[in-house]
Formats: sequence, C-alpha cells, structure tokens
Amino acid sequence: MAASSATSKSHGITEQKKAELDDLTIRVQNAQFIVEQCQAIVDSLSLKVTNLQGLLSTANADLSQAHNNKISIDQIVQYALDLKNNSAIAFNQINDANGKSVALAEGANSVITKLIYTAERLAKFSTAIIRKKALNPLISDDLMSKVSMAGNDANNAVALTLIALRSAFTALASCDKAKATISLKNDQSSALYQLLTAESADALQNLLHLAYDQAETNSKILEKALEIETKDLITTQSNLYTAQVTLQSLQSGLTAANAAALAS
Amino acid sequence: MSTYSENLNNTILLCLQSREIDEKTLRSQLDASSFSLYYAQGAAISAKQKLKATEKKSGASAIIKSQATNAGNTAANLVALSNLAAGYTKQAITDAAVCASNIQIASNAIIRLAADIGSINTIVKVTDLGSDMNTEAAEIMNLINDTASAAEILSQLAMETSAMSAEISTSQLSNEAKKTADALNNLTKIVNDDFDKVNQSIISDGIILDTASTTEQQANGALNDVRAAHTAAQNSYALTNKMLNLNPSVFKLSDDSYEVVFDEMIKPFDKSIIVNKYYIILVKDSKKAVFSLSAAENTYDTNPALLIPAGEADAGQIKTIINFNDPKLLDSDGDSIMFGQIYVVFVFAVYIDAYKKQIGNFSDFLSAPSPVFCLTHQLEPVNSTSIKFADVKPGYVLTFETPDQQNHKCVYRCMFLPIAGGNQRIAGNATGINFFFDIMLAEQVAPGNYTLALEVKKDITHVPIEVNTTDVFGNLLCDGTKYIPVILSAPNGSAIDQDKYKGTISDFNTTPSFIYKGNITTK
Repeated sequence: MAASSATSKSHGITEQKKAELDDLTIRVQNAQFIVEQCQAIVDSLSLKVTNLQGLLSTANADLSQAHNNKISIDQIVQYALDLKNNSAIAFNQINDANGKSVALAEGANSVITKLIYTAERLAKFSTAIIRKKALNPLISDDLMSKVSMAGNDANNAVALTLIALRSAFTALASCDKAKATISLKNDQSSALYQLLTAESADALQNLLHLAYDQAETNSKILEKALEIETKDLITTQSNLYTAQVTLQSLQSGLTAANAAALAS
Repeated sequence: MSTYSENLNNTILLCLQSREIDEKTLRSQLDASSFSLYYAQGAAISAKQKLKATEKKSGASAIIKSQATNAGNTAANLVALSNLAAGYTKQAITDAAVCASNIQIASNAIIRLAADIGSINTIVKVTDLGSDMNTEAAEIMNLINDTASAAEILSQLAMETSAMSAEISTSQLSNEAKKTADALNNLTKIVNDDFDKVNQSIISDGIILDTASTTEQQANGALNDVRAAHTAAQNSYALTNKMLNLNPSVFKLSDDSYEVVFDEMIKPFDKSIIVNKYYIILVKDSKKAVFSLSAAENTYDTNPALLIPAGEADAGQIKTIINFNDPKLLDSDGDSIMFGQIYVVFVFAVYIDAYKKQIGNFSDFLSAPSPVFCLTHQLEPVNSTSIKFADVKPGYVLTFETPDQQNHKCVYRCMFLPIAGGNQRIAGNATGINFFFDIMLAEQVAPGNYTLALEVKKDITHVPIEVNTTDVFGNLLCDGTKYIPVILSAPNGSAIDQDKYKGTISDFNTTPSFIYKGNITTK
C-alpha cells in the first residue's frame, strides 16, 4: 500500500520521464476535452443552422407568395383605377348624350308643333285659294298645282316628323336606361376602388402590402440570423479543426514518448 | 479482527454497496427523467408558440380572405352591370342613329314643303290675289321657314347626339371590368388556398401540441415516480449508513473546509467507551473498494501522517473540521488533496487495550466508507436583481453586474426562459415559468441555445442580443413573448478544471421578465 515516500535520487531519470509522460497524458486529456467541447458546439450550431435554413426556406416561400400577391393586388388596383376613371368618363359622355337626347326630344316636339300649325294655316290658305279659283278661273293653274303639291308635301312632312318625334323619344328612353346603368356602374367602380385602396387597415391593398412587409421582415430576420449563425459555425468548425490537429500531434507525441520510455 | 467482526464488516460493506448502487442507478434515472421532462416541456412550449404564431397568421389570413371575397363579389357584380350597360348603350346608340336618320328625313320633307310654300308665295305675290292672300302667303312662308330652320337645327342636333352616343365605349369598360374581376378571382383563390393551408396547419399544430402535452405529462409522471424511488433509495442508504456504519458524513462548510461527523462506538450492553482514538482517512473514491483494515493498520504503523486525528466525542457524535488548505494533508495514497477528485472518508478506530484483551482480538476497527464527496470551488452566481434587459436600437443588450470570481476562470452563459402560458402542472412560482429548470439542466443547454458573454468587464458585463438568439429550447426569440433571463456561471478551462468547479445559475425567481419586441426594432 505504502505512501510513496519522497523521490529517490537514484531513480531521478525514470521519475523525470514519468513526469513528462504524465504531463503529456494530461495535455492529451485536455486536448481531447477541447475537441469534445468544440465538437459539441459544432453539432449544436449545425443543428441550429439546419433549423434556421428550414425556417428561412418556409419564410422565403411565404415571401414569394406575398410578393406575388402584392404584385397582383397592385395590378388589380391599377385595373380598378382604370375602370373607375373610364366609368367616370363614360358617365360624363352618357350624361352629355342624355342631355342632347332630351334637347332633341324637346326640339322634335317643338318642330312638330310648328309644322302642324304651319300645315293647318297652309290647309286653310289652300282652301281659300281653291274657293277663289272657283270664282275666278283666271287664277293660275300653276298656283293650283303648287298648292296641291304643298298639301301633299305637308301631309308627308307631318307624317315623317311624327316618325322622327317617336324615334327621338325612343332614343331618349334607351339613353336613359344606359345612363342609369352606367351611373350605377360608375358608383360601383368607385366603391370597388375604395374597397381596395381605402386608408383603412382593412383595405385589401393595405392588408397584402402589410403581409408582404411582414414576410419580408421575417425573411430578413431569418437571413440575418442564419448569416450570423453560419459565421459562428465556420469559426467553431475551424476551432474544432485546430483542436483536432493539436490532439493528433499530442497523441502522436505521447505514443512516441511511451515507446521511447519502454525502449529505454 | 476476528472472523465474526470481519464477517459483520463484510456484510455491512455489501449492504452499503448495494444501497449505493441502488442510489446511483436511480440518480441516473432521475437525471434521465429530468432531461426527458425538460425536452418534453420544451417540445410542448415550442408547439404552443408555433400554434400561437399560426393562429395569429390565420387571423390575418381570414381578414385577407374576407376582404378579397368582398372585392371579388363587387367586381363580379360590376361585370354583370357592365354587360347590361353595354347592351343598353348599344341600343341607345342604335336608337340615336335611327332618330338622327328619321329627323334628317323629316327635315328634308319640311324643306321640300318650305320650297313649295316659297313658290306659292312668289306666285301669289306676282298674281296679286288681294292683300289678304298676299299677307297670309307671306306669313305662312315665314312660319314654314322658321319651322324648316328649326328642323334643320334639330337635324344637326340629332347628328351630334348620335355621334356622341357612338363615342361611348362600353365594350372597353366591359373588358376592364372583366379583367379586374378575373384578376381578383385569381387572387381570391390564392388567398383562400393560403387560408385553408394555415387552418390545416392549426389542426396539425394542435395535434403536435396535444402529442407534446401528452408526452410531457407522461415524462412528468415518470419523473415523479423515479424521484420517489430515488428519495427512498437515498433514505435507505442513509439509514443503512446510520444503523450499520458509524454514519460517517461529510459536510461542506466552505470551498476548502469540511466537517466530518460520525457516531461514537460504544460497547454493547454497558455502553462504555471502547475506543482509544479515532482517525479519519481520506481515500480516493476509486480506491475505496480495496482500502481495507489491514491497509489502514499498515498506514497507522508506517505512515501515521496520513491519518487525521478526529475530534472529541460529544453526545455520541464526533465532529472534526478538516481544512483542505493545509498542504500537509494527504490522502491514503500519500497524494496531496486535489480539487475535482472524488473522495470518501473511512473512520479508523484504535480500541483501548482493555477492550482488545476482553475480546481476545487485537485488531482495530475500520468503518465502511462514507458517501462520496468532491472538493469543488463554487463559482459565484450573477446577482439576479442586477440583470437588466435594455433596448438599444437597433438591437437589445443584456447587462449584469460581474460577480467577483477571485481569479477563478468563469464564463457566463445567458439563457432565456420563455413564459408561454399554458402548462400549469409544474409547480408554480411567482415568475410564471412553468417548466422544470435547474442547474443540472442549465449546464446541459446546447451551445446554440445560449448566448455567451464574450467580453466580461470588471463591473458590468454586456451581452448583445441578436436576431439569432434563441430561448433555452432553441426557438428564436419571439415577438411579443415574455422571457426571464438566467445566467449560468460555468467553469472555463481544461478538462480537469471542469471537475474542480461547480457552476451556479442566477436566481430566476427574482429576475424580472421582459417582453421581446424584436421584429419591431429590426424593421
């Protein structure tokens, strides 16, 4: 059992060798420990990097979808704006046309009233001429034929003007209908545009822009996290490599020293 | 030692050994169960966080879906309306054209009539049918001229109206409405798919959470079972040690000062004193199995410096304070006492001669070994109330007062314990941390899941918190979640140093929590 009592001078060289071997052994143990520590860090960081890569890939898929949605909604908003503006133009046009149609119907009415009054006066005048001709055969036949022709033409003009009057009112009616629908459409395209673009947080464009911003932030955060983590991993991998090289050379040293000690 | 005594001693050793093995086995099971529970809780907390995030996503997705559907419906209405408007407008254009044509025809007829009346008027004037007729003819001519001119103007207006109507391009508007509606339709499909996907995730996340919760519950139950068994094993070891051995126990007073306590030996029957002198022998744990009475006696004879004289008996107990700073202190191998080395103590008792004579046996007595102990430097914990979390745009920083480690090498690992609500099974504390966490777990947290204080300053140490910082379970710090920081003071150095030091954690029960608002700051 014996407690090793003091070092004996005669065994000095052996003792010294043993001390060197012990020292080397301890250094190998320490190097081994450092390698294990580095390995543990590398393993943990590798896992973390893998996790982050997974998260980033999901985030990037989300971002890509959010980006597409953003492009879509911006395109849709542009369409809706065109629709709104052009609907407004159409509305103004139909409004103008409708105004003219009203004027046209009024004018046609006015013309027919005038024409009928004129025709009646003409008829009365014709009757008077015809009566005069009966009393006075000297009255020119030419005049008589003109009067007769005028009578026919008056009938014709009245008939045609009545047709024109009716078609003026028909045109007015269909113009009214077109105006009503275009007006509604104008309101609705404004409403749609408003729905898409309002200042409110609920407007689709805002929602999709917000979703994109969030997806972008999320992706950036993960990208940054991955970047830092990858850098850390590379550093620890290089530390591990250095530690492994140190361990290897210490182990070789220890093997050689052991062999030498045995040989001596 | 007589064979009787030897037999007894062997029996005692065997009893203690089996109790010790029991205790060790159960302790490793206990540790394993603690880890299992810790990981199960981590999984449950992660699942909960994921579900919460998914639910939040679902809320946003639902609003988007509803708004897109709304806009899609409006656009669909607009398409129908546009088609209707196009139809009406087309009709209006046709009618306006017909009207213009009819008015033109009427106007022509009126002009012809005017021409007739003009001729009549000329003839009447020339032939002079009397002033009445002359006047009447002239008047009618004026009337028809007026009418014809009105008709002419009307015809002009009709043409303009027709032209104006024709300018209204409703088919283009129909196309625009259709384009808008189609695009919205596509978008709605996409956001609907997304909504469905998120909702599907809620279901699968929920299943994962359920499974994780069940696993956690099972792990918790297993831990409790094993803990009970371990406590029992500890008790039976203590009882065996007390009843069969002299109950040698080692208590730490400070890093290098320990008290050894054991029971006094007394003579059966009359309880008289039978021991002349007690000694304590420090033996490496690895050597305890081979350390025997004969070895002790040999040491007593040849190298008494290795025996530590014990104190005086007091009320049946003998207490001895051992100062490990004493360089003369050696173990049974004659080696200096080392930090990080595991030791046991043996009690060596030299009987009084009278007793030896009485029993006819001249051997002395060696106890069975005490429970193991290890000399360690306890690192100083970080003062929990000094831990501060500060927003230093664009990032965050954790600061704490650097403890005085008296030249012992120490690193600080900062960990974040999430407060995720939910699990009420784990004993509540005021902090709201509802998972199992202690120094043993803290020491096992993977390097990726803590942040090392790279630059330890003399007074205050700063630890920057970056976007890659995670909680102890490895989840990135989550916007709007509460965390409690815990700092582990861990030994830094060689393999041997690891055993010499004992790490400590800051007291998380008295550390204020903070709410992480990472996303907002990094934006």
